[in-house]
This record gives sequence, C-alpha cells and structure tokens, in this order.
Amino acid sequence: MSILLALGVISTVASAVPPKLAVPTIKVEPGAKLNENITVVQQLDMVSFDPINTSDLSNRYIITNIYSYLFAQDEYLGNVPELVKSFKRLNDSTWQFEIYKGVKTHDGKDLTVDDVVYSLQRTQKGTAIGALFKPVDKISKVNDSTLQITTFGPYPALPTALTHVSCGIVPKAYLEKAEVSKDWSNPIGTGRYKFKSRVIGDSVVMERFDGYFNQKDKALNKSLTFKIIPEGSGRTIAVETKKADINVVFDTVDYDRVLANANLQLWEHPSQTMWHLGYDNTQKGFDNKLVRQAINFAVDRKALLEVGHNGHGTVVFNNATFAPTVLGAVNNPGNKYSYDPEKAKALMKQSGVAGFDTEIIVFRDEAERMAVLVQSYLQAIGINATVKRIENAVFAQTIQAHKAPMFITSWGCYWDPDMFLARRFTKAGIGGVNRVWYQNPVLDLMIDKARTVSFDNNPRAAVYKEIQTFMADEAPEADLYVNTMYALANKDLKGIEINVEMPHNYYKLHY
Amino acid sequence: MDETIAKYTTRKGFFKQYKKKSRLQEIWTRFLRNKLAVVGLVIFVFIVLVAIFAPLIAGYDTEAIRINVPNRLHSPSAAHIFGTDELGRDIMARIVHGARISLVVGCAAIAFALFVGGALGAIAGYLGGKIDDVIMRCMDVFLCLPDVLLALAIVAAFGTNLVNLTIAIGLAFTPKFSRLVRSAVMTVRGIEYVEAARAIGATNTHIITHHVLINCFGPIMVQVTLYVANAILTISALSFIGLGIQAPIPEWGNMLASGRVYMRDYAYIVIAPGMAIFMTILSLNLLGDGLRDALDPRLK
Repeated sequence: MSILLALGVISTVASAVPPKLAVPTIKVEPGAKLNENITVVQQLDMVSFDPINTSDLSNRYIITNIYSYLFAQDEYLGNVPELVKSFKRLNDSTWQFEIYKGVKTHDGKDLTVDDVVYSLQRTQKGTAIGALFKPVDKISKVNDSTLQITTFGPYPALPTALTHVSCGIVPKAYLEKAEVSKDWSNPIGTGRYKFKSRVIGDSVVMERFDGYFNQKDKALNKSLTFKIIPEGSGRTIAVETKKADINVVFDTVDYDRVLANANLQLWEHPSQTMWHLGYDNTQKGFDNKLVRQAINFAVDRKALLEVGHNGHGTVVFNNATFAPTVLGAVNNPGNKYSYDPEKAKALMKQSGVAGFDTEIIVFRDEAERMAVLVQSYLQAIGINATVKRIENAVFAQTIQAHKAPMFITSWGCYWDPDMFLARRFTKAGIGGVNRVWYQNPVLDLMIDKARTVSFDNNPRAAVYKEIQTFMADEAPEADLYVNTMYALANKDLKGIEINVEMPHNYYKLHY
Repeated sequence: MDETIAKYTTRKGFFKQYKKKSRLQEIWTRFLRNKLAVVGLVIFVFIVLVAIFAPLIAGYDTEAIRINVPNRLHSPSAAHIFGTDELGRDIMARIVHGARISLVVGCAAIAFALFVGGALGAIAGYLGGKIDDVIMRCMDVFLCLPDVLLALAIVAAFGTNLVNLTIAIGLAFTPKFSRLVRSAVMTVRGIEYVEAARAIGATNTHIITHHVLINCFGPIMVQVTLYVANAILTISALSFIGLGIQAPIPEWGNMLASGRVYMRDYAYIVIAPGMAIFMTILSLNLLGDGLRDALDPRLK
C-alpha cells in the first residue's frame, strides 16, 4: 500500500481497514542478494532491550527484530499471527492460542508455552502495557502447545493488544536472571535476529538468526545495523553517500532534493502518528476545562504542520488521539474547534484564570520548532511558556514526576481505539502513557461500553464517535496533525514496507 | 634678552617644545601602528554600536521575535537583507538583537570572573603561604575542566536563564583570572614601591588595590579582551546545545542550532549568525593581540 514517489505511482488508502489475518508473504525476485548487511538510520537511540521498559518508537522498531510475538503488527497496526498457529474464542471472555512447535531461542533451546505464559504474565504486571491488559484476567497454560487468556468481559482488541512491544516473548530462564541482575545488555529472544552489539548513542548490530522457526518468513538480509543520527539532513546524507541503506525517520526539509536524486527512492504512507500538544491536567491552570479549550482555539494547527513537518501531513482537530484512519475517527467532532485567537481569549477570560507561567517540554527538533510557535500562541492568551529540551530517555521520568506541565510529542495510534484510549486517558495509564494525567469516570464507562458492546466493529465505532465528542468538550490535550510517513532508501534496495507509524519489517530489506 | 628668556620659560612655550608623550598616548600610538589591531577595534566598535542602537535598526517585538509562518525560509532580499528563518522571522533583526545578548552576557560574565578571580588571585599572590596554597589548589581543580564543560555542568544543575548563564560562564573563567592576577601580583609585590608603602604603614588592602593591582592592569586588560571572545563563544556553544539562551530570545548560537536543519537548502540561515560570531571573536582577538603589543614596554 506504500506509495513510491520516485516512480510517480500514487495510490490511496481506505479510511479504515480492519486487521487482516494472514501470514506475511515474501516476494523475492530471482537473483536477489539475500546476504547483505543492511544499515538503517533512525533519529533517536533505543532505551532498553527489556520489552516492558518502554513503548517508545525508537526502541520498538529495534527490539521487535530480536523478539517474537504471538501476533505481529500489520500495516495499520492491526494484527497478523506470528507465533500463533491458530486461535479461537471459546466464549466472550476466554481465548485459546495454539503456538507453533519447534520454535528455537537464540541460545538453541526450545521455546515452551511456559516461557510464553511467564513472559506475558510479566508484561501484565508492567507499566508499559498499562491499560491494554487491564481487561485481562488470567494467562495460563492449557497444554504443551496451547495457552489460554481469560478476560473480565468481551475484549475484541485482545489479539491486537498482543502485538504491543511489551508482549515480546523472552525465555523464562533469561527473564528470571534479568529480573535479578537488571542486565539486558545481551538479550535472548526467538525473533529473526540475534543481538550482536550495541554502542550507546551510536549503533545496534544484530545478525540473522538462521534457526527462526518460520523459515518461509525469515530475514532476507544477513545483518541489520541501526545507526543513530539525530540530525535530519545527516540521515539523508547517510543514504545519499551509501553509508546507510535506508532512513526510517526522514526529515521533509530534504523532500525536493531527494526527489531530484535518481539514486534514491522515497516511499510515503499516510500515518496514524499524531503530533499533539499535551498538558498536565492536574496542574493549576490546566485543571480548568475552559483553559484547555482556549488552548485548542489558540493554536494554528496548519502553521504548526508547516513548521513541524514542512506541510507534509494532515491537520487534525481531535482531543483523544484519533488519527483519521482509526476505527470510528471523526475529524473535529461537532465542528467544535478552529484557529480562533479571539475565542481563545474570551474563554480564558471566562475561565477566571489569570495568566500563568509554564514550560513546554520537547525532545526532538521538529517539536522544538513547534514549541516556539506554540509559545507565541500561548502568550497571546496570557500564558507565558518557556521551551525546555530534554533527552528522549528521560521524557517518561519527567512526565511521571509531574515535571512536564506542557509537552509536544507524537503518538502512534493503533487502528483499534481500545488499544490506546484507556492507556492514554484513564487511571490505568498513569505511570505509563497517560502523560496528560487525565481521568474521568464517565470516560471509563464509555471505554468499557465500546469494548463490550459487540465484537462487531460498527457498534463499537458508534461509541467511539460519542467518546470523541465528549473528549472535545473535555479537551485533555490538543491533537494537532498526523505527519506523512516516509522511507528514504538507496534506489536498489528492495522489500521496503511502511506502516502507519514508521517503515517496518526491516527483515524484508534486501538487494 | 628678557623676551627670549620669557619665550623659553613660559609654561606654555616650554611644554610645547619639550612636551613628553603620556603613557596612554604612547600605547595608543603603538596600537595605531598595528593595522590588524585597528581593524579589530573598528569591527568591535561597529558591533557595539549595532548592539546599542539595535532597537533603532530593527524592532524586537515586531521583527526579531514575531513569528510569521507564511514568510518562512525567504531568501535574502531588499525586505529581509539576511532572509527569514524557519519561523518567518527576519534574520537581520535577530542578529542585531542577538549582538546585545552576546556582548552583555559575555562582558558581564568576564566582569564577574575578573572580580571574583582577581580578588582571589590578588589575595593568594600577595599573602602567599597556606592561603595561597588553598586558593590556588582549588582553582587548579577547576582549571582541569574545559570552560564549556564547567559552564554546562553549572547551567544543567541550576537551570537555564540569563543570570545563571552569566554566573556559570563567569565561574568557568574565574580560575583563569585568579592565576593571571596571582602571577602579576607576585611579580610586583617585592618591588621597592610596595615595600615603601608597607613601610609607611599602608594596609594590605590599600597596597593591593592602590599599588599592586594598578600595576597589573595592562596584562589583565589584554586577557579580558581575549576572554570576552571566549565567553561569547561559550554562550553560543551552550545555546547551540540548548542550554544557553532560550527561545524566543535571539542569540547567535541558538540561531545556528535551529537553522542547522535547513543548512543544506537554505544556507543563509546559518551563514549570518555564523559570520556574526566569527567577526566578533576575530575582532576581539585582533584587539587583544594589538593591546598586548601596545602595552609591552619592550616594544617601545
């Protein structure tokens, strides 16, 4: 579904595509070189090989090559089976998953159902998955090839929840050791690649695991090297000079330049990556609904898209992170918001909140540019903000310490809203990714209703529309836009795939 | 005869014929002989004038910090001599107002370093003994650390604002001045006029301030000009990495940092602030070198 700009091929994407259940297929042309070392450049360094440590994108797309999952993510962040050979729902709240036999770990042992159960039980206890596993009651072994997951009620999104980065399967023996030593420097998994080395802040190297259980879907390159280049043009230059094969975080400032370069190929894909202005709903000023609404009127999303991503994306008026292609998404529910500084000022006046000082936390270049612009919008309504740039690795800690009164970052939405709503806007997500510290019992009930109303998508979509209208009024954050996803590669590289969040499936890259 | 005598003995006539140049005049004459130093002085004076009259050249609120997104990334033109930046702000206006920040913070930081470091160095050099050991070993510890690293650590610990930044850079340069002043004080403290002052009962403070420091003025002033250049560079370096002057205040280092993303296609965004830093540092270095030569009595 990706769009190859260099060849001028354009295709469109349906607004909402349900998850597919199919084993990924590999199309390898005769004469393809399948023993190449592929170098991928990305913007930020990974954080940890512990799958339950963080759901950060820069971490996720590295460690998912090391670990296998019951279900892998598809193009729309839906699910496709990986370790699961078959699965069935015994009733509304009981699921059974049969896993493949003969799955080998990187240290040559057999993966057992006990390993899978132990891994998932650990995930359930962790904060990274947060509310995603809140509906999950029990994870248990049925027999040597089957495990069972029971939920507190209907949970249609369970297979998709199992694609979350924190559901990576790690052998029980390794986990028991790592939980004591906290040493994740030499990870063991069952994925397509074995870890080889890491230089913090610079690179991660992994080699093809020839014992990968699904030989029909194994890696098509010999090794993957992830190079960290924070500067956008630096990443482009790395591909131009063949120091890297693919840049998975393309900076659109180089858009015209790379289109004119016949030695490069640029792929694009609509995204579900939502750039948003978040604020701590518990802090003075932001605890007032009218102030939050004023901020939503005060910011010019179109200008922010221009400054943040040079206009490459789609403006979104939403307050619950519903990207336009997500199930039930409505852009600007009730046509509530627009760029209207006068209305923003009036709302501030109505709120009775005098102007106050605050801080906008950012950790990326594009967010920093946007923050300076937001700073000027806020000043116009009496909020004096300073911009503070921090390291990516300490962002979660900063949020958890209530030290991010405002922040600008992105969030990769799953196709199924049940995968992010509870995590981002309920008590269960606090300490995880409820970065805006928002909670509301009414929303909790609505989320439960959307989850349990039916296994059918249409009735669920209707509830999600209600949720978006409710959240537009609550305005717990200001969603700004989704940016178009790009992958810049050497013209000869094959096997490039992009999902709604990032280029992915690096194991298919080959020459 | 009387007239002739009167001609050569009137104060006016006598001094006219045998007038001896003052020390300052001698220094100034020697300074003017050094063409590069004069170029440095002219550039520096120009930058200072630009900083002083910045509001007359370009409005702060209306041009330097006012964001105008439709106007972004415009090439240099009659309307915007250095072009506009990634947020549509006039680069020249930002350069002009940035000069104020760089010069004020640079000079204030060095004044701070001179005051604190100079006092410590003078005490250590004049009193000697254990006090000298304690003060100078502490200074040696700080001297082991590069200026930028030390300033970075201080700013990171206490937060980034104008005052903290000035103090951080000032503290980073304090050990250099303490060492400089100490050595200068040690050179002059044994000279007869200091002993004479002591003999007539002058206090240590009086001797240090009125006899010792005044005679170290030359070498200190030379170093001040050179260290102001270093301080401006440090400010820019800290701003470049996000720990210096914060947005939206225009500063040359943060202009470079925010413009670097666009450097390949819109080089003018970084050329202007880069040149501003370059010219300021160059002018101060030329000025410092010229002053050193002019103040050196061996080069009379």
